[in-house]
Amino acid sequence: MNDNAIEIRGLVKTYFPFRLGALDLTVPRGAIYGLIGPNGAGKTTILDLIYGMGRNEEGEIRVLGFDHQRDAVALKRRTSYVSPELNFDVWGSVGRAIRFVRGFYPTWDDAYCKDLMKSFDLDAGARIAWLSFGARTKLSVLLALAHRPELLLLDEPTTGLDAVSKQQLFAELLRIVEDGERTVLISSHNLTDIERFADHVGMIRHGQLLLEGRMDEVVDRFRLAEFFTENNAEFANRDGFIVVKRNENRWQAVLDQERGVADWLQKSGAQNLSLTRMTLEDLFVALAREKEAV
Amino acid sequence: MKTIVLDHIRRWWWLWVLSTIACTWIVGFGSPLKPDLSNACFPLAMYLGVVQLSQDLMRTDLRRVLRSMPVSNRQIGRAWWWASVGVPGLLMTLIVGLVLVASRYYGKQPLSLEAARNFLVGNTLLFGPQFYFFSRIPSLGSFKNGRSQLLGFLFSLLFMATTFSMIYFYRIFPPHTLAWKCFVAAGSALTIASWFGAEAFARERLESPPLRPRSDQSMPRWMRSNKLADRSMEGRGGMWFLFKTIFVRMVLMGLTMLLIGGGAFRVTQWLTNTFSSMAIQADLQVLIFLTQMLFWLILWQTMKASLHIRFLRTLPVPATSVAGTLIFAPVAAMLVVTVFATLVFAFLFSNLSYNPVELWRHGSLLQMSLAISVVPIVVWRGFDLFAGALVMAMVIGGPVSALLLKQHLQFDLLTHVVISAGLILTAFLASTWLLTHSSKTYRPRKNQFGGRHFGVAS
Repeated sequence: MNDNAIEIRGLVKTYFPFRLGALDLTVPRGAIYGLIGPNGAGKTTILDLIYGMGRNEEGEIRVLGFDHQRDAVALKRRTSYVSPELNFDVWGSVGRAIRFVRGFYPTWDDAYCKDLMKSFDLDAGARIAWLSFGARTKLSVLLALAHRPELLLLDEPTTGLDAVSKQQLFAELLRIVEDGERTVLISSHNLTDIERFADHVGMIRHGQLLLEGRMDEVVDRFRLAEFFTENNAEFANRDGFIVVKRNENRWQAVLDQERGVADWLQKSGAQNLSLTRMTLEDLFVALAREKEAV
Repeated sequence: MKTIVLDHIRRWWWLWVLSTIACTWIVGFGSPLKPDLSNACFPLAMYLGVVQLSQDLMRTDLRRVLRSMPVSNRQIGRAWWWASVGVPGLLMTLIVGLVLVASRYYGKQPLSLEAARNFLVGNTLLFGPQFYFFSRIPSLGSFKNGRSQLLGFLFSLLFMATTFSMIYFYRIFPPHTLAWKCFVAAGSALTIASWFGAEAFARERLESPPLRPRSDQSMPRWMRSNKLADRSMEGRGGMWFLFKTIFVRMVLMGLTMLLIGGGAFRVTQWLTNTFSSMAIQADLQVLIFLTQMLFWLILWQTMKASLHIRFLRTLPVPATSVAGTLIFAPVAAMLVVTVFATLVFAFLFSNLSYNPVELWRHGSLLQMSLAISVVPIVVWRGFDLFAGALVMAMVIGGPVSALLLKQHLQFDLLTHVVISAGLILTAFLASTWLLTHSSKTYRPRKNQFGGRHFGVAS
């Protein structure tokens, strides 16, 4: 069996003037993979293309060993997609929406569905049009989980959820991946949640994958460097070095430890160099703003 | 106040333009057919006027924005009055004035001043009563007790009667009769009353409780939760359920509208028979017109489903099934509605001479397939400005042009069937292709009501 739940190779898609790719992305089976990036980076486009919403111009997407276009129905039967842009208003009530979706999945688990309804406080008779934003997201999650998919794609699932609901959602996600066979790909702006729950992370910007890997390895790889300079020494962004802030001769920058930039810095006149561990959020902000940095 | 009026016109400019063109055409070209314009009443207030405002008021975000602005309820109410009564009235005056002048110089048979005046008075005085009746309908959040529900029902009926009476306006209120004088007096009084009631109207709409989830205890019990829906999880789901839902809703909606429309027509016929010399006739032309209008109205159910493409495409079902459901469920429903139409007509008017095949042969099939051809457009773009303008143009132009072209399109039934089948098949293939190839289909959607995203839970 393939060890990867999703394999994307050479994916290209253009929405003029935006261009995604060429992009390679690998989501290991059994992982909670956090896909992060600034607004307009291409996260939703990737999820859409995986699900056959629009056509890629180049490249290949394989999901659970299936070709995403040729085997679209088989693929969707074993996966689920959650997004705040899914709307179920046409069904009128929660119960009707559940009935509609249940009809597509032989693996639908009625007992689990009822558990989730209770846990998410969703009533079958509730009118969908009058549900709060958070309750609609919960409905979307319920419909996605109740057939016990092998792969779950979540696009900004925590939008509009309160702290308690967020905890419930992530508890369910952790339960899903417990057996090591099910996979979750989650795209989110909420980096605290991603850092806490995801074990893999991929960061994209302007349609390009900046980095990808295990969460602990990625966070461990980068450090926030603080140092002083004399004689007006200048430092500009280079591979593995991003200036975050400069105040006179005092500097802050992000270092990629795999590039050996620390040695180069010291040789170039950086003094009192201190390196501190960064949060995913700090790293995200620094990498996302690389172009605008000093 | 001026800003609110201009904002309204800016957002609805395309409908104002379409209506102005259609109205000018009717007034300008209707007059040679009958110089007193009695066959050329264009129901401008069905498209402009308070009908537009009602679309705006359905959006709670607009009300929220207005509430936060440094303007009084009086200013907002009067701005709404100008947008719904004042400006459309001035527009109608301008149109009639221009046509009157143009007909003096270029017309073969100049439009008489009296005909123009009657047309202007008749049409302009409909805006005020329409606004007045609409302003008396309590907002949904205020439906607290039986009294407000009864008032809501009563004023809704009056509002609908005012709106649809325009179609047979000259037959209900022939000029120089007592009915006409009563109409002018009542129309003037209600227009003035609508101006003074505008402030209370704005207050009621802006300060009424918003629609809330079921936790809002101010709602009647039946509104908060549908107990019948508790059992709705049972039964067969899947695409068949979507097909059935669209089909049943369209048929029920069509039947209800047929009964209400046919009933109103029957009452109007009785009134004109009793009180007027210009009695209206329930002939085949009327039946065709009613059916064709119905196609467009009930198609809304499919459009609602089409706006949830993103959700439908996350399900394990091929694009052909989604497209097939969106195309063939309404086709089936429209065919059934045509059968119902002849039955309702036979029941209300004791006229058994019409049958569905006759309706299809006289253009209903073509009109139906034309309506279906809107589905791929909505699949492609949602209900944005382009799609909205196109649909409205077809709603206004489709049935009217079908009636006008009836004399020239003397196709036999087989030709109608072949052309219609071709159009429906094309719509199906186009929808399938869009679902699998178009990225635009899945982009966040904006509607023509000012940019709110369709398909986004908010």
